[in-house]
Amino acid sequence: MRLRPPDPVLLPLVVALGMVPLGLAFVTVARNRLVTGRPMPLWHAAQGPEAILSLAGLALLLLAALKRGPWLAILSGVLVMGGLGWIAGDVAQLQAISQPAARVSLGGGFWLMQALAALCLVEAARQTGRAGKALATLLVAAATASLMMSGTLDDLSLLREYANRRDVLGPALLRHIEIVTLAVAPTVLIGVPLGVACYRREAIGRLVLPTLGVVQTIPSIALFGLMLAPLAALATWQPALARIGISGVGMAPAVLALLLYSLLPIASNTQAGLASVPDSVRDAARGIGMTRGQIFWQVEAQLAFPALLAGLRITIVQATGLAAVAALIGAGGLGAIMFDGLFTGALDLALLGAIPVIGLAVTADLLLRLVTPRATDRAPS
Amino acid sequence: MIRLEQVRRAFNGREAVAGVDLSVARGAFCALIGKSGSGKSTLLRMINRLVEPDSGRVLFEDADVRSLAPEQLRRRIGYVIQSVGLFPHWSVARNIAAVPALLQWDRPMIAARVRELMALFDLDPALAKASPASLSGGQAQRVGVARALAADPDLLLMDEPFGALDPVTRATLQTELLRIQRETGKTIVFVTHDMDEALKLATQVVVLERGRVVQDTTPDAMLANPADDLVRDLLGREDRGLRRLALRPVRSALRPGEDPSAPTIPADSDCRAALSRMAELAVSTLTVTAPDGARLGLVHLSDLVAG
Repeated sequence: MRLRPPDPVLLPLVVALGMVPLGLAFVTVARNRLVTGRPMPLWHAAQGPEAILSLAGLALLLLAALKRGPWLAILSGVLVMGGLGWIAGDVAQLQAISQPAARVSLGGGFWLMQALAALCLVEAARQTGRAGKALATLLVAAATASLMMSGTLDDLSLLREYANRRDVLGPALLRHIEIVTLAVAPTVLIGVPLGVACYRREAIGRLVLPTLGVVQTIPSIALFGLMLAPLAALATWQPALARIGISGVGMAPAVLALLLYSLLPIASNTQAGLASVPDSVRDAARGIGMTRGQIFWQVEAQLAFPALLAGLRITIVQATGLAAVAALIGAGGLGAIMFDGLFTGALDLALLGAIPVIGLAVTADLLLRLVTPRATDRAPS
Repeated sequence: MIRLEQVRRAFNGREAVAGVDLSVARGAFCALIGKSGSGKSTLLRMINRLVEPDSGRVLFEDADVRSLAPEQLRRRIGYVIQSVGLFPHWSVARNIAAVPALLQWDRPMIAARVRELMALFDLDPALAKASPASLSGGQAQRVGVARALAADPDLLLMDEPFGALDPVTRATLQTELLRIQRETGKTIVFVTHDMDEALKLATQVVVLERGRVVQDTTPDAMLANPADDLVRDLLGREDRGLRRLALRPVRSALRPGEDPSAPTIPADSDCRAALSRMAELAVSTLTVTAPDGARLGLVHLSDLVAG
């Protein structure tokens, strides 16, 4: 049998994974939640069966990279990710027994190793196709769930912050979704017709799209700030508006600013989608006797739809991230937790706010990708 | 079937069509030929009101087209363009069914018509569900012509339909179109810049130059008496005689007799092919044979040249 060269993607990843502990702290241990912790390298942290598990995982991952075994890479990658989580959790538990106020935070080494192992999984799943993707997702979910449910991770600083803020995290998440929805839904209602108008009348397009482009370049905090004065003035002038919640701070300026940001991707993608319909198709549609309405709904709108969905995806992901910044003007949401942590120096609290923001953005992106028909493999009806 | 009376149309001050009178009889195969910018496409697109004339009248079955709603008119006229313009998000079958669907035929009738047209154009029934993107150029244009014929229009407008195809595919589609036109008796108006194509297909050739009709006659008459230098150039100065021979079937020069030494030529060849074969084999007599091999008679060089 001819020897195959090692996997050109997996091998460097595994080597890097093995070298991370040499340079970066695995966890940091602090006396309490507000002081900076001392770094603790992996070899001090790793004890017990989980250390053996992680090491075995790493060895198998190396073997998988050398022998080109993507299935083995998936299994061992999950082993490494789970094992590292277990190690971190155990360190925190040990510390909690001796010093109840001490905080064990996940260090750069932990995150980088998790990221590298995750990249190994992505690459291995790519090589194995759909089944591998499903298996990797399932195993990661199962490992995460079992570590969380067993309470292994409960003493980590991040989870302690979670325990403290459990009652506000849920409402903050809902508030975050609310801000994004309130901004994106009207954006679609305004942006799509605007995109159609930009396509139909070149003059409108030349005016509107660059203007929206300029709006995009305004830093988000500045735009939120710009909203303060006019909305406050509006609320003073018409107290009825103030009563329904329009004011210089809070939800109203946040939603309005996000709406302005979101208009460009929606309008320009609608316009681009319509412009991408070949002239020959439009000529044929007219030539066989379709009315203007039929050409728009049966041909142009359907061909522009994937581009519109892509615009919607960009918009939702962008708005989810920007909504976090909106906490600075009192809009609430996950950003409030994030900034709370940043301003008090409790980085794990900031993380507690940031992780769900990322989760929301990734989930929205995934869901919209699933419903976006791909131009090449769409089954014609 | 169609009559154009003194139609004019200018774009940005330049006259694309500068006073054209033209009539096309029912069942005719009319080729509009000319160089780029001669106004041939504009003229064609006036018939189904994709372009409106600035002045003059366009009559379709003796009715002024302006008295008809443009969409209704276009559904009664087949339309084929060089770039085909199939709807990329619809299957082949749904593309063919486009006009019957607009006319709200019932579903079984549409399905039967699609099957019939796919058979007529020699398209594999398995392609019915295929996406237009998966078709070859020749297949796509077959679907394009099938779509134009779906609602059985009496008139078919074609704007350089085979211009983007390779010579072999083009020749095949030309022959198919000719066969279908003979079988169905459709009236066809056809824009081309390829004189060979015009002579092969058309019963009426209309040469256009700067928006005016230069000559409007049968292929044979045009070859015999070109109206001016432009027509002579389009016909090709050197091989005009050969092109004229190509219009005549070898049967027309057939004379009785038998010559065992004379090489054979199939009876469905044209006179140019016969002349070419004589030149190739250095003979002046050929035996004309039927498809079953029967000897029908002889053709002599002198008969070909005498016309």
